[in-house]
Amino acid sequence: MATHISPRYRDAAIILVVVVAVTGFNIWLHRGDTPIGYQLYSANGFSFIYPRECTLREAVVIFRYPSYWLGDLQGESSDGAATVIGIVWEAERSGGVPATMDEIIDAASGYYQITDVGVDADTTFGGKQVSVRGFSVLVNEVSVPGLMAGWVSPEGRVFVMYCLNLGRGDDYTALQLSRMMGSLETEPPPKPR
Amino acid sequence: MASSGVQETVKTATGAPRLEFIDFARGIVMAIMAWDHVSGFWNQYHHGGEGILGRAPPFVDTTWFLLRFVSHYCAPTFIFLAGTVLAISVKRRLEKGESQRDVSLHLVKRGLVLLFFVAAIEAPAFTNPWTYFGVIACIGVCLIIFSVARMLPTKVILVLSLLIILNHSFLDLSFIPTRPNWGWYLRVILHEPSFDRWPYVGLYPIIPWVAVMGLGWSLGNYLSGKSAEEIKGLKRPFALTGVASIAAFIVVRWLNGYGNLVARMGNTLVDWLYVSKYPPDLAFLLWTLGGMCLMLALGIHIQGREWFHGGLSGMLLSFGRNPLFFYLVHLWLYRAQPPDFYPRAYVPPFYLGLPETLLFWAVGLVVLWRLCLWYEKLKRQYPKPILQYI
Repeated sequence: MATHISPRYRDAAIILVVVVAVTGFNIWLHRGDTPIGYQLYSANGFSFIYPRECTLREAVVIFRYPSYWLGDLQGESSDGAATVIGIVWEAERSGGVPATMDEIIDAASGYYQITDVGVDADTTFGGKQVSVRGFSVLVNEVSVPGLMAGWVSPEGRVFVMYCLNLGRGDDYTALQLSRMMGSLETEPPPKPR
Repeated sequence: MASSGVQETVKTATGAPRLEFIDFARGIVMAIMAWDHVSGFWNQYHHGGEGILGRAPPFVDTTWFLLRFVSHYCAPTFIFLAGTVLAISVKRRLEKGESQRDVSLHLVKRGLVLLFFVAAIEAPAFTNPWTYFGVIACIGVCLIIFSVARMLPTKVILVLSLLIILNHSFLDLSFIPTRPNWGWYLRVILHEPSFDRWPYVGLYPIIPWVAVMGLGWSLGNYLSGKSAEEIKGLKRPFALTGVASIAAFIVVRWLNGYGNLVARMGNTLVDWLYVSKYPPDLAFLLWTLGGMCLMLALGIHIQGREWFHGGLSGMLLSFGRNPLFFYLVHLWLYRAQPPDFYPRAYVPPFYLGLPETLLFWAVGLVVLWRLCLWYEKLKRQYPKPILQYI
């Protein structure tokens, strides 16, 4: 028996199908895009995403041009420097991740007063097994809390990411690090010519 | 009696009854908007800029965040209902016998008048350059777009509007060069609000706001010709749409992916509610347009009451009937300073505390109420020509 559908419902159904189909296709098409609010860094044999408002500078912690085995990047947000993010990488050495973290804190201590350095703890950030360490930086008598996370890549590099933020709480810092660490992808070292 | 004077005003120029629940909802957001602006002018910890280039400038505490957040209802409601009223007024003009050409010409002229008001009144009030692309400029350009787009069937406008709102976050304007400056400005106007390159600044890009107006237009066409009884029956659908929209907001924020131009970075109240206004993401529009639907439902619920035209609701109605007049006057009333002849970042001569600002806001609303009533009287005395554009 033929079923009569009211034109009003038919039109609503057509509108719904068109809107859902086009939007669904667009979501699928853009599934691999850098998330909104982030930018992609890709060089020196690795890539990761970082907050778009942070402009990255090279050689802030280690005074050398970045290369595959050694380097660092740091970015500060332009809206009042409320957020600072950074990444340091180097060939794994004795002492592993904690040694690289100590090195970063030593380097930063030359410029700022580093306080409340915590004990390392193992956890999972963005699907990677990492060591995390809390710390604070005293800037103009204001204590800015920060967190760093370190991971050893399959090719034997230590990557330590850090994030400091004033005003948005520990959740923000942890989530930011988790996103950055989760997006970190590395490539094998270049072959000698 | 005051109410008889007000009753006269609830007829439009064509004599058709006004849909007063629309004026009521618009009046609520005008009053809230006045708070946002007086606080922006005089409070040290009040700021905006949520979402510009993905940024999320932090607030000093949750109170100041919420005092800003509440104002998010204003622009979407203002623009949506501008579309609704536009559809109703266009239909009435055509029914009165005006030609299609005259109606389109009227919309273009109205759009240009709005752009003039931006340069002459709105931008200087915010100490912005005359090129500032704010909410009035956006509505002005949308009116010009609708002078042509109105020829499309309502269903097509509805589908296009929904598609723009749901998909604008994928828009990539990188093909437009940012040098020379016209390229930058075009991107600001189209979809990338920014204050980074003075004087090519703006906060209300045409995309997706034109789509918000398109949704309002669709509603206006749906409401046209509805009887009072049929309008009453819309209370429940409006309320349900509002609740569903807010529920969808919660889902979108919880998923924390598609629909969020500012990601949720934690689980505090601020993290959940911190959404992108510039440009408005899906989460922002779900929350604000959902709230607007609840305001419309409330308006329908109370519009038959005896006290509707008096007291607080009477005041809100007078704001809602004169939105542009209210907008232009309130900016300078609350700014309460002469214009700066050299646009710069706005800094007041001193800051007010929260209680003083609230008092200023309340007193200002009473003044604006009297001014709106006076202006309505003036419009009745001189129904033509320039006053019809304000």
